[in-house]
Amino acid sequence: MRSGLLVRIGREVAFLHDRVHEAAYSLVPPGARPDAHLAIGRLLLSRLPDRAIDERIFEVATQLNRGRDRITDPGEKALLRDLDVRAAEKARKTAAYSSARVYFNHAAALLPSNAWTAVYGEAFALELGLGECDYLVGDFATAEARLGALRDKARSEADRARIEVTRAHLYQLSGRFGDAWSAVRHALERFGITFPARDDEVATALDQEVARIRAELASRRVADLPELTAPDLRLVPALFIAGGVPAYNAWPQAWPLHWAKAVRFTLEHGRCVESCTFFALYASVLAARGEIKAACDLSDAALRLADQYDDPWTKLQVRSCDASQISHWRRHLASSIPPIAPFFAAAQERGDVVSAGIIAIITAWSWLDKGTPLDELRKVQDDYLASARESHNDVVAQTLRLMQQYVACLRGKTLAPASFDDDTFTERAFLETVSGARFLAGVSLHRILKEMAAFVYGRFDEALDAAEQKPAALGAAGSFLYEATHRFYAALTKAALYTQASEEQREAFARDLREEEQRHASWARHCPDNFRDRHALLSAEIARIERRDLDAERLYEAAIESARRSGFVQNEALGLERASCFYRARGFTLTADAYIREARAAYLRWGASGKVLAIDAAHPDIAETVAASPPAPVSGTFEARSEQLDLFSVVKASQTISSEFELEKLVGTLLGAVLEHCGARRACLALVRDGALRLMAEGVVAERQTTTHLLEAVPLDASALVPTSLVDEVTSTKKPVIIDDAASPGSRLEADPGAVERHARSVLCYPIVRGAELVGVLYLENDLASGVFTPERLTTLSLLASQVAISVENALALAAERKVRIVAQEAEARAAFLADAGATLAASLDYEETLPQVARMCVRSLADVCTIDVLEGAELRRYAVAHRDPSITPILRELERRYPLRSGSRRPPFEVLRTRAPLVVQDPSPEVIRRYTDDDEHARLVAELSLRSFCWWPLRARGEVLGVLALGSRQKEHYHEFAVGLAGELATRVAVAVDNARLYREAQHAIRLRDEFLSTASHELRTPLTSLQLVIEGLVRGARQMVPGASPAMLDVALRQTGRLTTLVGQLLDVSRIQGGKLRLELEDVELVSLGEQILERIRVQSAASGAPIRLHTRGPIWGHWDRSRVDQLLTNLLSNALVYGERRPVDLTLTCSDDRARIEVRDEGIGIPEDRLPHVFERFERATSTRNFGGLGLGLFIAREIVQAHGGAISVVSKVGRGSTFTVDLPLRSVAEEVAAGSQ
Amino acid sequence: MMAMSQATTPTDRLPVMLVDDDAAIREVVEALVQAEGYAVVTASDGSEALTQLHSGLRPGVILLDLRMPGMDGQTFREIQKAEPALATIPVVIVSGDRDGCRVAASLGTESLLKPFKLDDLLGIVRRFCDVSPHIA
Repeated sequence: MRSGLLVRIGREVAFLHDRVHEAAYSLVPPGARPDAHLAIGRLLLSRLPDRAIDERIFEVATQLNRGRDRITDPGEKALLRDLDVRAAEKARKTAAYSSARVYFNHAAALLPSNAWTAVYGEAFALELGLGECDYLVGDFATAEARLGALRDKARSEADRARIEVTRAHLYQLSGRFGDAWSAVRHALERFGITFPARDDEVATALDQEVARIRAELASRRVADLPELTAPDLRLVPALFIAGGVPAYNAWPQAWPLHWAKAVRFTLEHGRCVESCTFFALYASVLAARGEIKAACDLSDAALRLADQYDDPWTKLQVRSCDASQISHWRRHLASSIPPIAPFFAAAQERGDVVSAGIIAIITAWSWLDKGTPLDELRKVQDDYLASARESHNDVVAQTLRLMQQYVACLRGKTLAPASFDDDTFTERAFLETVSGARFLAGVSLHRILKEMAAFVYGRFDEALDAAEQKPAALGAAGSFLYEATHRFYAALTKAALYTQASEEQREAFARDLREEEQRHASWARHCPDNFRDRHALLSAEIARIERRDLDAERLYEAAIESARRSGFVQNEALGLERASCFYRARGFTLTADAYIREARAAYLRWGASGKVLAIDAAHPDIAETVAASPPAPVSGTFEARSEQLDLFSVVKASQTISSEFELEKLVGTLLGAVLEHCGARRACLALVRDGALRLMAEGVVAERQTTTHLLEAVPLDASALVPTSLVDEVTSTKKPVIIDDAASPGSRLEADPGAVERHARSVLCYPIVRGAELVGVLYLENDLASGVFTPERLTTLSLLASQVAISVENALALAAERKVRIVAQEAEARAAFLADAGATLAASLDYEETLPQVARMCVRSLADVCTIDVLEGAELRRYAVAHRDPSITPILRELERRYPLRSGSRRPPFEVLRTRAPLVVQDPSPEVIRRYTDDDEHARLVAELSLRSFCWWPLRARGEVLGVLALGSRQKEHYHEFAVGLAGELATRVAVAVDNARLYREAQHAIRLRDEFLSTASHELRTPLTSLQLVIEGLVRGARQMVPGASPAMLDVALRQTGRLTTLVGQLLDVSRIQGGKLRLELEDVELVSLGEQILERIRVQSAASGAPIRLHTRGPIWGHWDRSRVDQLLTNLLSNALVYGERRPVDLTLTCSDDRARIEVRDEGIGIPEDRLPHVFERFERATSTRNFGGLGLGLFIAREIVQAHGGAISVVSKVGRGSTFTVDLPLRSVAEEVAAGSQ
Repeated sequence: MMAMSQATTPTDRLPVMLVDDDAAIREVVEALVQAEGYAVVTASDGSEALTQLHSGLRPGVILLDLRMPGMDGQTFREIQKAEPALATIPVVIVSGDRDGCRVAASLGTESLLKPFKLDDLLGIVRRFCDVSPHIA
């Protein structure tokens, strides 16, 4: 250390550099290294606390392993073995399987030679762990050999089952679903659970199981099932779980039966955590059987059951089951994707590559069916593909590749339409891989995608081919979304082929279509969001076939509209295209063209550029206006251009226009195109928004540069940018108006100030019309030349304008849809966040524990920094601080240390407490920050947090502000409506939780007080009873023995005790009267001083006994209208207290009087009352001192206060511990009620 | 104070100590137990009782109340047990608390719950304070 090669970091010493470390190591002779490692390892082991060993397990185990050969002591060997296993488990948990394997191997090498007899359990677990790691690192052969050998060594059925579970995973991972399934099936057989041998027996067996389960569930609730307790059956559920995926892929017919058997097993033997999954999957079986209501109910029951188990994995699994197989039967597709995402991540994290793979496929499919634009879809697929490859999950990776090829096919990137082959992929190789692995889901998906692609490209025969070849996996687990999609396309295909089909085929098609229509009708009833458009389109096609033209027209529209509303752009395109065919077949060419144009636009929006090209090829007349390859750009300024109409440039412009879906961009592009192609120097676009024309953008050519800028939808009337008279005319006639030279005398715009100012010469005002409706106006000006806007230009403009009209509408629809989607996503995120927060808050009544968790949740989604402060008395106490960026920890600490929360400060939390309203500060200037902070240094520290938006919410419950929730974000303007609303809802939940916890504490406190009171009361009542009883017994005994049994003094004692009892009972009665609101006063004129004297006289005995004199200070009689006996009681109580707690020092009673009030002051110099008890001394059952010391029920001051309040007076106390207390009572001379009565007379 | 016709001489008997803050109980118990021929020493709290024990008093039994201002019964018992010279003196908890029995058990003493019968009290006094003949 002296030479600087070692450095001290805190309490640790480290090498200056890795090089120094290496050099030092090389200085140790190789032969001595094992001993050195061993010594270091032993040192670590002996010095580190247990927890630290866990943290540094790899280091400790590695050091010891390197010196392993030198260990001879069996005890130390066992210890190291345990460390190695711990290191291996830790590595496995973090998916570091090769490290895990290394440590397991170390541990195995340390097993004693007789391990299989001496430490069987450990040896078995080790081998199993090794087998698992073997397969997870891809060494399948070793894994299989190891597990095969292990099976011979297993001692119990349960252990054998354990091996089968692992083997099933292994086979499954290497794509051998058949082997995986038979491993599980044979293991299940050992527990008496059997499956029929033949395919045709499966359906009957399933029907029977379903009927039995239905009957059982009719009388029992899932939640009421007992727990599975039989230890030898405990592994059966794991077998069912392990067999699920293999069954689906290897023997799909048996898959529903598999889960039905699992559910029956649960009903018969009790439930366990796996049962949640059984019910969830069985729900999907029911859904596939069309029992959607029952399926949804059972899935809900599974979700509830999962909540009863503290097993996040199962919860996720059940939720993902619901999301992948049930959710789309009741909710919009978009909402089924978010719940799966965490399941995928969790499956990856825990190394369950099988589940992760399946989820990847299902999720990718949901994205596909959701109408995700294809380029975006491709990115989603890429993500899943990357992780499938990472985990060597080849069949899943291949299947994801297949889905990518479908996308490529629609984009025209594959070798042929409806083929998925290209340089990188062949269908044949794909099918070989997945069939070889018996991954039937992959085969099914190939057929379905093929069918879909062929249909889209109008190759109905190929589509039918694919549909009819559907492999066995379809229908077995028919509750997956892709099954439904397959049915939809298959039906569409048959409908499309109907007219050209043979008589015989027609009959079969018609039957299938009717059946499918009914199935879709039921689906659409259960979930209109997902299925109404499909059902409408099928119905439309049936109506077309049946020549119910009017129905067909209506149904096509409904299908298009529904698809659009649900955001299913692909179905919208299909609907439009089918409608176009329908009209064309009936000879309505114009309508058909309009529909195909719309279909083209929809396909384009979807991103199916291959299909768009196909449409253009099939409809050259339409292609002429919208398609063709873009030519080289032409020069852009007016002066340089010929007057010739340049069709290509217009086509290019209109293409650019139609590729913009966002209104703002569209407007800019449009104006650019107009300026470029129409010879204008200035252009304005006005669009109809909310029923009136509003200026959206202005574009100007200056110095050969075209610039456009957006206007914030200014009402046209309020703007001088466009002559309103022209616009009015165009609006009413829907015809363009051209002025050749506005500057010439007598022109219509001679008097228009805007036009004059701009020296406008050529002017054109052009209506943009869609159907019969005006959607906007284009206004063009040229200030250089007159007569620029010729009829040729008008043609150009008309082409552009029609494109504009369509694009504007699309963009508006898209914007509306996005808005709806954003609102829906926000609502969903909000609900999920609040649900999580609610669950966290409800998990414990200890908010010291829950508030930090909530704060941490906030910094995951809502803020970069979150604090929660709760009021305690008048001070705010910080219960939680959380932040996202670890680098600001020191700043936050510094802030907390130097600027603790102090009431009365101008900091935002206190402002929120004062105003009781939320406070949002966005992007504050240094001055604003300074205003809310204590001093410049404080402001500087806050600024260092680099937060740009702040939001404070009062925590309000039952009208009280209990504290403040504070959020800070680094994003500018972060606390807009959504985030602030969410923060508010969160604040409400936090407040309710805090309030509940407090109420609970108060209730607990009240219960404790009551118990203490009962204890005290029994003590207090028994004490006088004791002496009374003894005296009487003494008398009885004396009487029997004819001797005096008690002296007169003792009889006095007895009398005093009855007096005490009377007082106690009286107090108890008073309390119950007060509680019943029945403390009645009998008012009369009372003279306070003489009453005081009488009381002093009466308690002189007591006063003498306690050794304290009572001194009366007064200046003469005080008359008041009071209840004599109650005032007596009040004074007596206060004086008795003063005597009891007065430490035998003098007590002063001062009676004074002002105009309308009498004042009673009782002062003692006794033990005093601790400050924290002061606010409570007048409460029921409270007493200032600890219960054990002094007699009394602790009701005196409570009754005193009630008496004072009944008289309309006030009582207060000032006290200091060790110095004494002063009680002050102010009594109105006449009670308020009386005054009111007197006043009214 | 009272005639002690059938009582044996006080020298045969150990005195009784009563520690209770309630003056009435002290007065009555003292009178009745004395009437049976036992000397009674009273104290109104634990520290008063300790003072008397430290001055050499060795009662046959200490009747101990729990709730007292000043030093309470529990504290007294703990100190008494800790002092070897006093630890062997039997203690009976005399309490009106509902959980008096439980406290007594935790302190390793018998208990007599208020209100008690005179005979029960005297039984305890006789058991602890009568010096048995064969020892005498």
